Amino acid sequence: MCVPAPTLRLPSLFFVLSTALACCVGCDVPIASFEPNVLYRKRMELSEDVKLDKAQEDIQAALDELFGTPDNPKWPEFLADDEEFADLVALDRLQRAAGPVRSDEQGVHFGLFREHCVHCHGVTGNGRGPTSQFLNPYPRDFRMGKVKFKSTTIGQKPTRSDLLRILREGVMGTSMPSFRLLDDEDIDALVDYVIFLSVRGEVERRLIAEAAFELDYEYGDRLWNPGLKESSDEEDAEELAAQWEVIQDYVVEVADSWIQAAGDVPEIAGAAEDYPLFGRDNAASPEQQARLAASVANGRRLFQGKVANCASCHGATAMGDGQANDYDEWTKEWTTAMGLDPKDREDIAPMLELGALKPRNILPRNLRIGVYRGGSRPIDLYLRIAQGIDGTPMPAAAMKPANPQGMTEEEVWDIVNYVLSLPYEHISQQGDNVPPFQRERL
Amino acid sequence: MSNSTRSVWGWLTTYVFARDHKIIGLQFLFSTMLWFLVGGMLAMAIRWQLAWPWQNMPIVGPMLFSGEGGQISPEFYTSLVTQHATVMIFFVIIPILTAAFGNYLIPLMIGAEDMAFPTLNMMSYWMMWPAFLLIGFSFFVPPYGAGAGWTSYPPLSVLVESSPGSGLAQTLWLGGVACVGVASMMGSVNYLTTIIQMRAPGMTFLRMPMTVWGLFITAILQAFALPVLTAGAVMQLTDRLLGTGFYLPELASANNSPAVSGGGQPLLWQHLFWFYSHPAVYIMILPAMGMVSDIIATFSRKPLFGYKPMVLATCTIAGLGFVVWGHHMYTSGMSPVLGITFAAATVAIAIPSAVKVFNWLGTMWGGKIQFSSPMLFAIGFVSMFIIGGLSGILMASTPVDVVIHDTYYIVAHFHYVLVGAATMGIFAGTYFWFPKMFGRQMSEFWGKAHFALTFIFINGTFFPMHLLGAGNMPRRYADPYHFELFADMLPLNRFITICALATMASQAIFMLNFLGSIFFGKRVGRNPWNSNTLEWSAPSPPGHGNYDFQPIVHRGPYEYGNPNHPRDFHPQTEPGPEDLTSPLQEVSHES
Amino acid sequence: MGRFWSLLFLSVPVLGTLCYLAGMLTRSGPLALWFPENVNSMANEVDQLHDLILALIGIVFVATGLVLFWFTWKYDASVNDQPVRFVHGSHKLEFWWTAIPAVILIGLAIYQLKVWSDVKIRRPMLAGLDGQMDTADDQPMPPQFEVVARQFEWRFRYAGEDQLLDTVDDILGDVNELHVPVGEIQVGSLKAADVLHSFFIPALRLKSDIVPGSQQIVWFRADKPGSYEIVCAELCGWGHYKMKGRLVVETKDEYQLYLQSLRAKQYQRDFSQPSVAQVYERDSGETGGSGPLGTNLSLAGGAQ
Repeated sequence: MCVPAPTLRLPSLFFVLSTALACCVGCDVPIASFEPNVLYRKRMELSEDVKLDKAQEDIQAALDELFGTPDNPKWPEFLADDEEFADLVALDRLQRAAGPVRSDEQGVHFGLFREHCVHCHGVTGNGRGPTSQFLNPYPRDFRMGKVKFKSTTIGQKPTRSDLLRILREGVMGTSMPSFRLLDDEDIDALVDYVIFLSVRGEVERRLIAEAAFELDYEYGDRLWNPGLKESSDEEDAEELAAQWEVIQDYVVEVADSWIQAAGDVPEIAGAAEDYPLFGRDNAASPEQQARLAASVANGRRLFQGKVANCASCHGATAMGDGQANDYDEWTKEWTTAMGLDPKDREDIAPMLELGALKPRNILPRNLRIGVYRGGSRPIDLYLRIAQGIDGTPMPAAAMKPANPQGMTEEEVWDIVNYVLSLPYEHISQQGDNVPPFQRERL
Repeated sequence: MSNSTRSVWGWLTTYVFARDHKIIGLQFLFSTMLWFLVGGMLAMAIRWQLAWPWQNMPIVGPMLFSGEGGQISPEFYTSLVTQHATVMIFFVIIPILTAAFGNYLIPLMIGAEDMAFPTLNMMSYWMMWPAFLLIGFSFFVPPYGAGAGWTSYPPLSVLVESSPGSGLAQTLWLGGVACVGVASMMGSVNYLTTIIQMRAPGMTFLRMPMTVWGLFITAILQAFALPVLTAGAVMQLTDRLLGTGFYLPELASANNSPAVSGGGQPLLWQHLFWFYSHPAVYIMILPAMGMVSDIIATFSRKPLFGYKPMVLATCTIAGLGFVVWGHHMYTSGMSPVLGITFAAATVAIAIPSAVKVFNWLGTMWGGKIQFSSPMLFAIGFVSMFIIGGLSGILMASTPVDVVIHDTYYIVAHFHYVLVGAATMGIFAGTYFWFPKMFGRQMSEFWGKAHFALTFIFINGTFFPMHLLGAGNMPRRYADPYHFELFADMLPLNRFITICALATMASQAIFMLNFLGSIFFGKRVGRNPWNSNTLEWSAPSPPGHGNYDFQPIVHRGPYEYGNPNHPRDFHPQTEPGPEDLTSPLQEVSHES
Repeated sequence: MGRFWSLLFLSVPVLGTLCYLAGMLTRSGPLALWFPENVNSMANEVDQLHDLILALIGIVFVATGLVLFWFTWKYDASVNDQPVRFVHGSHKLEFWWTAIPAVILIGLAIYQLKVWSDVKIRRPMLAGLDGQMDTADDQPMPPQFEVVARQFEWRFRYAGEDQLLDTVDDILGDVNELHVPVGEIQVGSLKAADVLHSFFIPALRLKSDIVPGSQQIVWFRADKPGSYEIVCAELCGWGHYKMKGRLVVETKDEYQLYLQSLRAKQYQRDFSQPSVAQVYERDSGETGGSGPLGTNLSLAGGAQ
């Protein structure tokens, strides 16, 4: 058997190749820390005309100390010690949701967030995972602590079960899928992790704001100076404690807003049990049917009327064509709120460079296709109308008795009935001057 | 023109824009081998994700997804499977068989000086480059490659917003596929003309070796099926770019982004696509079958068993190959009644395939088998083609296919045919004709080592996939394990991945052997394998014009081991009677 | 060396057969992978057909593998001192090894026709006005549920009291969860909201691509109560692997109760805040999400 000379060197080449392979396989890339909120920092720098790059290091150090890293998250000790706050985020659930994807010998899953969520919502919960730029609407950025579809009033945090519901049901008409087939414990752990990321993100924002508004780094102010820990000087220790107290106050304030949310759910006594509902009572007794017809008619009147003023955005035909130029607050914050035109590419170019996603208009829902992102139960529609949708141009309805010009709860139910009837209604029933019915797509 | 510009021009026309079929064949061979490497790496990435889902993927992970700790995104996985299939089918197996071997061998084996249309031949190679560039460029467009599957089913592939991989990368992909189509059509017209018009004196159709028959029938398949795909791909391009709506239903929409037009039919694409892509399966196997037939006869030192039935079987496979495309669409929503017709034609195609296997076995029966590297790969081809062919019968049966369609059963089946059989055939051909191409021989020792490792690990990779398929694990799943049904499949998938990595690593032997032997291999004469076919009487490597004498063909290509002939082979060019059934007087046989 | 190669080729049929046997017969271990138990009594013959074909091709696989081994063993040039058998072929052999597979394969193609027509062609019928089955008056059974596949989830809807889909009394199902009564023929209507999907329930031997712009009809009779997984089997985008659904087969009473609970939840009026624990207790309780009209086509019926 002939073996030509050059090929004799093969074994050594094999060795080199396999070593190279082993190197690639062996190297793990732990995610050292959560990504800083550079967009918000830039925004503060521009609007307050300060430099925050030094503060940035302090903020990052403080946050790492409070919340740990993506592979090893922490719930601040002073919260974990408090009974009330400890319930908000439990450390064991946090650790199940965080870190790289793996299962232990008992088959318990870890790294749930990176298995199910990170592609869209990103490691930091900033809504900018690798898939995010392709989605419409964009995935939620948790760091503002705002959630659209919830039972609490506008400006409040959602309750735990609101988040649970979104995870279990998904958000119809968006890319958020349902996770109802995960184990309950897994979903529970993910809810904790979402709250954790929201709290962390909001604390970060407050610290950036603090640094921008209150501290002057030119004069040696420091938000958090971990270097002082080494010092044995008593003054230094006091300074450090004072710094920590400020930070701690922010953390408690943010965490507290989550605790408060549970108590904020307004009571909806609403209309009487026998008040007709579209879908349920269409084949009920003749009286009930008559009441339903009256309710739908009243709903239509209100929809087009001045008090509810639905038609101004959703359009006279309810096809969502009233206006199409608005943005949600996640976008407005770094565009219109600081005088940048979201449509002007040059204006927003520096922000896009920092990772902001290209602004998209937020469109009013087309109510004729029966897809309701916040849920399709009448009660869901009621909540959207009565309490609005946080972070969007959809306002909370003016309600009696707080507002004498407002609507009664029955009237809101009438609008609900009208909206529910829209997918089944001939557009020509509207009568005058409406464009021919053209179904929009999901 | 000065001397130097003339010599640059000469160099360009000789080696770059060459019109000599041998240079073009080698150009195809080297380009496709590079792509083979790319396609193989893509396969490794796919296997990595299936064995260690969402873990740091070596090399690409840190490069593209450092923010996620090297964990790839799901759309990147769909791009991986799409690009792997595209590269392997359009850039490797089809061009290496039809264009590299086709170009190199056809004129030599039929005794022609060159192809009928040398310029067209050159253009067919250079039409591949736009395709290489377009699809190569698509690797750099987020999410790093087209992601609608190599089948590119609309609406996913047409609605730009429907998935990350359906954006610009998909446009580039379609452009690339259209260019490949044009290139292959140019080639096939050339092969047909050459084979029909330019055979040497005495080379009747029924004296052509099986390799030429395989390439001839393949060229017919390409000439008739490819225009359909190319037109279909252009229609999909216009759907995307001009809103023509051939493949979009009324009110198509995805990701909250409606299409501009509708009124078309998604199934139309599937029919057009498979009208080409099923014959393409035979394009990818018939030339390999031909080469393997020649190699088995040569190294069994015995005439090919049933030459005419073999030719007939090749023609039958090609003929039936045109009317079975619907078996890819049993569950597609196509009329189930139509499925019956396709099922009948599909089981029928198993008959000529079986005949071929029996004839290869018949050729080995009673021979003197020499286990050289080409022969080992050829026997490996037969062994794996049996598996791939037989599992095809399960899929041909409509009710069974309903269960196993789009599961790993299918993946196992077509990889046995394409990797197990076609690629083994490519290796066999490479080892066999390497001496003719470069005048040197590849190392037999490393060739055999390459075969042993490749054969073991390919079987280790693809045989267990049948079981994954029986467990109904679906294709193109970035992470099947969150389903209870598939949760237990991780250990087997890890085993498969390790085998796949080992298969890939074994190819290093081939690469080094191939490149090393070009420069340092043992020098050989015209006919190192004592083979009969025409090309072995030309110099190795043949010069421009191929033959230093006028080849005249006296007999069929498989006259090995004739007891009435003093040597155990009897080249086609050797003067003398057509066959030596009775003891003959001395025959002069200087070559 | 010839010996080594023949044994290498022998290992293929041996190990291949063992691999298949392990898949079929073992109950645990990495190779214990086989078709899940079939609970669809309308598709029993699919499994029988698969086993029949597998047995046939298994025999051919082993036989050809052994022949390949034997030839490489016996006719190895280094040990075979017999002269080469100088033959160009045999018409007789060619005839038989063409004819025998042809008869078997064509027989197979004809044999499977009935199974195919049961699972895909002959849609279950109901007696028409004359009240008798198998007359010209028979009507195709209307679908009891509708599946709307969208990126990347399954939405379900049940026909409600009027037994018709696309009417106001349709019952919205839970996302990703389909309930059917045990032992009854169920007809489903499949629609897609965006791109191609494929509705695949391995335990029912049921798979049908869903093409946007048209409607597919599937039918089955699940005979064993339990929970089975629904899989998407057609590449539908980046989240293809996420499309997991659950089919719950339950008794007629449980099914009716489930439909009632869906309705009750749909029209719940008060918004009491359940604790996390309560949400779990209700388990499949929470509903909502789906619009009454999931897809393009469905509106056509509703907007009459």
